[in-house]
Amino acid sequence: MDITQDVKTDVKTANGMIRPGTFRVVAGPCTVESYDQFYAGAKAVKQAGFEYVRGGAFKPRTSPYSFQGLGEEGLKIMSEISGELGLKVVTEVMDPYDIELVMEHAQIMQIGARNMANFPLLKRVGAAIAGTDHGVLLKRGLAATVEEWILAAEYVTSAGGDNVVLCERGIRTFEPATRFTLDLSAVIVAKRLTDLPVVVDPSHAAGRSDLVIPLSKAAVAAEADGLIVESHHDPQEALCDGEQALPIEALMGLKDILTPFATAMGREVI
Amino acid sequence: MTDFDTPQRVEELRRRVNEVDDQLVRILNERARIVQELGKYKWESGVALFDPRREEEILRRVAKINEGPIYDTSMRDIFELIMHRIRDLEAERREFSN
Repeated sequence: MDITQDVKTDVKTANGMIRPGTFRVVAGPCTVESYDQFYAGAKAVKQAGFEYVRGGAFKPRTSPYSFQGLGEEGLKIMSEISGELGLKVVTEVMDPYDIELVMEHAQIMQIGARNMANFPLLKRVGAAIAGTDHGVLLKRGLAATVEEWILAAEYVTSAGGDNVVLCERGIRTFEPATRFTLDLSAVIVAKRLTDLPVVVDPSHAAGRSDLVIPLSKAAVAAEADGLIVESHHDPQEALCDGEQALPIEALMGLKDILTPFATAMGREVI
Repeated sequence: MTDFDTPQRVEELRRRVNEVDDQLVRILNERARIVQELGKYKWESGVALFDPRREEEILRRVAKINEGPIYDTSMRDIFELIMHRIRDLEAERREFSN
């Protein structure tokens, strides 16, 4: 039996985010804090050899008094810097009223774990990106089954949206050593049930940076089509999730570390 | 460092950790007593014990004065737990007095 027979290395999105035989890495800070901070973060992503930068402008925080993100100003900072560096932007949209604004500044709209079952938002995003090169990164809800996750993606596609990528970001379990439990089996199950690409977010799953690289290697081996990782030029001073951000030095080595694993899986790290 | 002085060095560092912990315990209880006093005033004037706006103000301040090596976001987590446990203590005290 050829044990690699089920590995789908040929899934793709029409907008080129996911391409056959490749392993896409998206990196960047949890949130846009300032022009200088995002510039340092985005430049590091570029230097590390990657083409997609992440960053949050609207942050879903537990307390309404916590830092909520820079909003439109954050979006402008991201699009200006990414335009200059030739990067594409992945950022979360939370409010249906912001969809058009976010699309002006970002290529990929992320639907966060807390909004995975916000079906009106999914439908509106699907309709908004229909016929465009924009895409959606749909995070798995922290208590969602694989089937619920795939059905959430169907809300986007059935509304006309294309370029949907699923993202496993860990689920709630009893284990407190990690913030969430990265469910790599869900990556394989989802990829066997659908033709949608699946990427992995080891940063949110682990909640700690020391596990990000080992989990990234495991994600490659578990048939994932890519990664979305958090990185920061100064994790000690980050406004959000400093503990889980890869320092720049680690980000710089990420491509070389993942390449042998990707090669074994018939993929190239991009 | 030689094999001979390693255990002594470890012992010395552990002794210093204990000293800092002694101070932390004392200071945390001092903080709790101040919050209890504040809670008393809040109770008497009918103001809610839980004030998330003020808590956020404290967390921002703590992150601002933090110089590391503890991450700002970790320092926030640590203080969140301190505030919550002290607040629980205050809520319990009210519960019993009723």
